[in-house]
Order: sequence, then C-alpha cells, then structure tokens
Amino acid sequence: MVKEINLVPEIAEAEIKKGVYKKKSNLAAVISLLFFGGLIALVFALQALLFIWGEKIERDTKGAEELILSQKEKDITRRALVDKLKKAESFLSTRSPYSAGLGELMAVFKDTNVILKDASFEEDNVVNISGQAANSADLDKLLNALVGGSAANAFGGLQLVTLSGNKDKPYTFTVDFRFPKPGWKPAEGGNSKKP
Amino acid sequence: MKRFDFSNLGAYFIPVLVLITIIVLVFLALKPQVVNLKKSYLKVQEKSERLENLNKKIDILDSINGESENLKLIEAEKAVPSRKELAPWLNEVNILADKNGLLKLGINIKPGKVATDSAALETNNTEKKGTPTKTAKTVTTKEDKEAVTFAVTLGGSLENMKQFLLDLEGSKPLLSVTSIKSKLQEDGSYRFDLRISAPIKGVTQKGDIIAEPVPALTDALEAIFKKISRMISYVGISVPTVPTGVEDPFK
Repeated sequence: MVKEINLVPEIAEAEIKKGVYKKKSNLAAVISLLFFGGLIALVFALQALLFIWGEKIERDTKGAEELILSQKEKDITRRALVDKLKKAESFLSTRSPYSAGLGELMAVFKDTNVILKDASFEEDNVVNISGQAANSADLDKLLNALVGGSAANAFGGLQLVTLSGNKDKPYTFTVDFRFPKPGWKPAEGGNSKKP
Repeated sequence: MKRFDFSNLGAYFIPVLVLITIIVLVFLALKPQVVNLKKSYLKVQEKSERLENLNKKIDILDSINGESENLKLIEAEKAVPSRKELAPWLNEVNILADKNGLLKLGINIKPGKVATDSAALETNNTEKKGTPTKTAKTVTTKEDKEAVTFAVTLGGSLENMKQFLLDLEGSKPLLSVTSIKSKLQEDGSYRFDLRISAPIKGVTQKGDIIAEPVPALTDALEAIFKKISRMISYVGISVPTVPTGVEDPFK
C-alpha cells in the first residue's frame, strides 16, 4: 500500500491558502466596485438624459403654446359655443310642452259642455283642473275623454279628487293628472304623438 | 472525512465586511438618486403628455373655420345670452302677448322672493281688466347664475294662451314656462299666472386653459344649433330705457 508523504510543511500550506483567498477577495472587491461604480454612472447618465429630454419638451411646449395662443379666439369661440349649445340642450330637454298640453285639454273640454274654471300646470308635472258640469252625463263624457282618445296619450294618472252636486246646481269637480305622460312627445305643429 | 477549516473564515471576514459596507453605502447613496430619477421621469412624462395634447389641439384649431364658428356663436348668443339682461326676455313676452291678443296684467321679476323697499314700490295697484298695468319688483337674494326666473300675469282666452305658448316655445331667447295657473273670470276670460325661466351661460375658464382639449361640436349639438337657428328672434327689437326711480318705468 502506497503511503502519502506531505512534503510541504503545515504552516506553509496555510500561507498559500491565505494568499489564494486574498487574491479572490481582491478580485471580488474590484468587481463589486466596478459594478457599483457603473450603477452610479448609469443613474447619473439617466438623469442627464432626462434633463436633456425635459429641456427639449419645454422648448417644444413653448412653441406649441405660442401657436395655440395665436388662435385663442377660435378656442374661446368654440368653448363658448359648445357651452351655450349644451345649456340650450339641457334647457330644452326639461321644458314641458305646455302649448300641446293646453291644446289637448281644450280639445277635451270643447267636446263636452263642461266649463273649465281653474287649471294649473305645476313644475312637478302635476296638473290640477276644476270645472263645472251641468249634469252627470257631461261629467261622464269629460272623464271618458280624459282617459280615452288622444288625451289619454298625453295625460296619465288621472284622479277625481273632489265631486259635489246639489239639486238645481251644477256639478263641481276637481281632477288631478300628470302631464306629460312618460314617452309622450308633441309632434311638430301641435298634434300629439302616441307613446 | 475532510474537516472544515474554520481558520479560513478569518481570511474572508474582512473582505466580506468591506463588501457589505460598500453595498449598504452604495444603496444609501443611490436610493435618493433613484427616487429623484423616478420623479424626474414622471415629470418629463407629464410634460410630454401635455405637449402631445397641445399638438392635438393645434391640429383641431387649424381645422376650425373661425368665421363660421363666430356666426354660430352670435346665433347661439341670441338663444342663450351670456348676461342677465331682462329687457330682451320681457320684450319677447310683451311682443308675444300682444301678438296673441293677451292682456298684460303684471310682471314680477324673481317671483316668490322678498323685494327690497325701493324696488317693492308698486306703481299701480289697481289692476283693471282691459287697462294693462305692470308691476315690477327686484330682489336682493342669492341669484341662480345660470337662469333667470320671473312671473307674468296675462289675461285672455285659452286659445290665445295656447297660441302664446306655442310662439314662446319657438322663439329666442329661450324661455320656458315652468308653471301656469289659470282662473276663469266673471267676463268669461281667463287670468293666467305664468312662471317663466330663461337660461344664461357666460364663458367659464378653469384650470390649464391652453392645454385643455377643444370641446367637440357633436352631431347632437349641431342639431340643437339648427333647432335654435330656426327659432324666431326678438332680440333685435330695441327697448326704450328709462331712468331708475321713476314711478312707473313701463309707462
């Protein structure tokens, strides 16, 4: 059996190992320094690039702003025009077509002998009418006209609120309904459209 | 079995410590730089987006026909005025009432509010049918900046009122009757109390006006423009002005 003989003294071996470690650690230190140095350089380079980019944008922005300011009249005009048209649009969309409503109501009363005493068209779309009918037949005719025919398309939620009749005196009544009925739209020229 | 030589640790200790120190120092030194870098990048990006918007705006402005838009604005101004000038609205109501044979029994500016002492002076309290009289009141209340409300009292038949409303709905400046109260009078005519509102819209400017995109004139808005263009204007009719403090400014 061959026996190994260590000819290098143990102390010398430790020295050699230390030298190898030193070299390795030096190498690692140099690499890390280079790496972090590069990293710092990259950050500064990026900042410089951003600064240059920002400066270019600033210059271009100034030029663009001057161009816009030279056409500010167009800008202001368009803005004012759109604002006004939007206002008109919202105003017209919420406007109740009272002329058509009154027209429908007049048509109903015209067909009967009932007298319209009071009528109020309120902001909450509730209409309240009160009138006088010579007899129950006329009143019946009026109510039928309100719930049927073309008026029924414009008026909804009809309610007979009060009704009183005395001997030798005409009937007096109060009726509530909603105008305009959802979905109903007056046609051009005043005639109503069915929902 | 080979045993680990702990004496090697001594050799590694110093370089490792130095390395860790460098990493920590570099990290501490770099962190604010990276934060700054991020901030700068976001700022530049924001500026870049603004520039993009400006360039888009320039293209849009170049495509706008200034003259045509000006004419449209003049037309829109007739329908929705910028300022609260009561004269055109009152004039419109006045003309339409005359046109449809309605008697003007009263006018109340800002109805339902408390009038000031000087403005509450009623010029003529005797409202007789057939002799039109008008009462004007002004008020000191917080005003609605985008609408004006006033009330008028008219007298006449239902047919006259229907025609009046029809004309009002097709005229400019825009007016909207918000409520109607009618009452049958002894002579067979009706007394109508109308509450009327009118829109106003001035130029509003907020924020970064230069970079704010140009609002689009959509088809819906073009349709509204056509609609108001067809309406009859009563703005051109001159209204004689009277000095303040007179007993009856309507006379």
